[in-house]
Amino acid sequence: MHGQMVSPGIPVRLRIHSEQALLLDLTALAPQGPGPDLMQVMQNLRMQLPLLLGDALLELVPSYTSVLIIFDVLKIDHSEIWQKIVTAQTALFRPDLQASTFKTIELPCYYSLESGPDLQQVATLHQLSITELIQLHSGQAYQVYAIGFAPGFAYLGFTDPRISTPRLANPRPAVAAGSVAIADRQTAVYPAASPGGWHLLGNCPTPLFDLTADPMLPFAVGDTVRFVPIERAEFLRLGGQL
Amino acid sequence: MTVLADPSAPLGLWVLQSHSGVQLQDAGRFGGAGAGLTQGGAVDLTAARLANALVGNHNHVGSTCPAVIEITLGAVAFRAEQPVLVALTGAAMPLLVNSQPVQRYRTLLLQPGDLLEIGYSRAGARAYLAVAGGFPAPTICGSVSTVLREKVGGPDGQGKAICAGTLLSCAAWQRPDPQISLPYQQHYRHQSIRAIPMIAGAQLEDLDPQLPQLLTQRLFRVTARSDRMGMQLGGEPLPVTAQQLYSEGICLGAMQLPPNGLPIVMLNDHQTIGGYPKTGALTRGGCECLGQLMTGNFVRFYWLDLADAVLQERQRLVLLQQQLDAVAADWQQWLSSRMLSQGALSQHSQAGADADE
Repeated sequence: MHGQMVSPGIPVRLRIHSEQALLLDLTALAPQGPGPDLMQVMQNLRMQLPLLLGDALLELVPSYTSVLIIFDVLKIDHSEIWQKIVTAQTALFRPDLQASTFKTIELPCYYSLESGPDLQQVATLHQLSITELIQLHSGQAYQVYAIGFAPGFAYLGFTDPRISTPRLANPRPAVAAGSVAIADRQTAVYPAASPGGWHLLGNCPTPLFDLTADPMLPFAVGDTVRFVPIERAEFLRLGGQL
Repeated sequence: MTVLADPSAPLGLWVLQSHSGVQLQDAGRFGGAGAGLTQGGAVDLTAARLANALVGNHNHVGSTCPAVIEITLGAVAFRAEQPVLVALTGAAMPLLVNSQPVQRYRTLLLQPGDLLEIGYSRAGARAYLAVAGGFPAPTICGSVSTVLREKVGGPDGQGKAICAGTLLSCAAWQRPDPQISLPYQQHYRHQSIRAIPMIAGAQLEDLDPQLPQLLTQRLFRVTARSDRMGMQLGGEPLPVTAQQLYSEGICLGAMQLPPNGLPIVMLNDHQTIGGYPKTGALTRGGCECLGQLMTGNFVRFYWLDLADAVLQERQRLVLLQQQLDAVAADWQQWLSSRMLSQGALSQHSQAGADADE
């Protein structure tokens, strides 16, 4: 097949993206779609690939079921990378995963009509009380599946199917920084004020994205995030803005 | 690297006329995609590297590039507040010092009060202005590249373009003009209809079977909806069949096919992930060519094997390095000739002093 590399026994495919980029397609590892198990492999790849490729590696972009690898074309090429991956496949794809090594980040969230203007509308849509909606949204651990759209914007999934919500028919021109939002079966925190088409349920007072910090974000693709409901007073004490 | 210019000088270039297409750029930002930061960087990195080499800012392919001003379409004016050594490369924009036309692709020594004007481009979309000693700016992931959308990079790190009415600090030049230039064969040459190679992507197989042929048969027009994020191409819409389920990482040069069937080629400020199907990608060199096309210019594509694409790209970079080395050698020659003449002078005065005794 054109544009890709496969090897017998290795559960992933390599897809050609450009002369300096290739994509590790992990869909075969997750026939049911991306989930916590695949995200553990993703975390492992995020740690192992820089060691495997050294200074030939320019950038890694993990997202849902794939990892894009951008490399220095003067130092390495696609077949050399594929060879390295095939050789290291045991360490890369069948890692001895220990749940304790993976990060879970707790994000405080003030769910209210003043911080989440769509709270009532979403509850009504799903025939839930606001309290039930908050319980369903905060009662679950989410995986970070991708980061993009804007710096620090993390796609978290997947929400309880009972609160799966379509996007707004008319996106808002301005969404407050820290807004906690849902769309389909995903949820996210807007890292900065921006336009947005997701329904807003609350606000996270902790600044998530800081260009000058290392790392810039408290989590990366593959990590686990939980929302912890907080009261108004706590929200304001943590620096939340209304 | 020898520091030839004095970076402590507080003055620089006073920006008299500018717009949002005038930005500080370098070789781009790597290591931030995990947090959603795009790569940025000079669209025509070749021209940016040559501009730096001309003013003595030595740089090498495959590594960082000192900051330059990327000028989209022209219409910029500066006034020098101190002696500054500059060079302009890339698109053919009229270049004037105190209303007198001067040459691109060579060093120019501006004196305090000199007016530097860059007019509307005659051919090509982007020119690059380099200053000896570079422009100081805060770095994020090792780069000063301006990305307006992300509010990252630029002179103050806040992602702003270079604004009229501001003072752009840069190093002062306290020596004569070394008169370093590049032969015209190495200047940017514009073609308003350009053939650019494309590498087939794996998704091409899942798209319309006619697509590989259609993509190379048709002529695509560069539309006004093109910017540093992507070049939006116009023409008869292409058939779109498949939709991808999960977003995945996007690289520079990727050709996306959105539901309207009009391809978009990702340039330096592209989003880091996306879900549109992709037909393939242009090489880095191909992106530099495409990024120089102006609204109304045409591009046609031809397929290039991956192995040939890697080889072509490596050869392109080797050739560029040779050009950079040649300019560096001119600089070395100029510096040693000055040291020799200064050395001769000091020997002469030494001899004079001896005679006095």
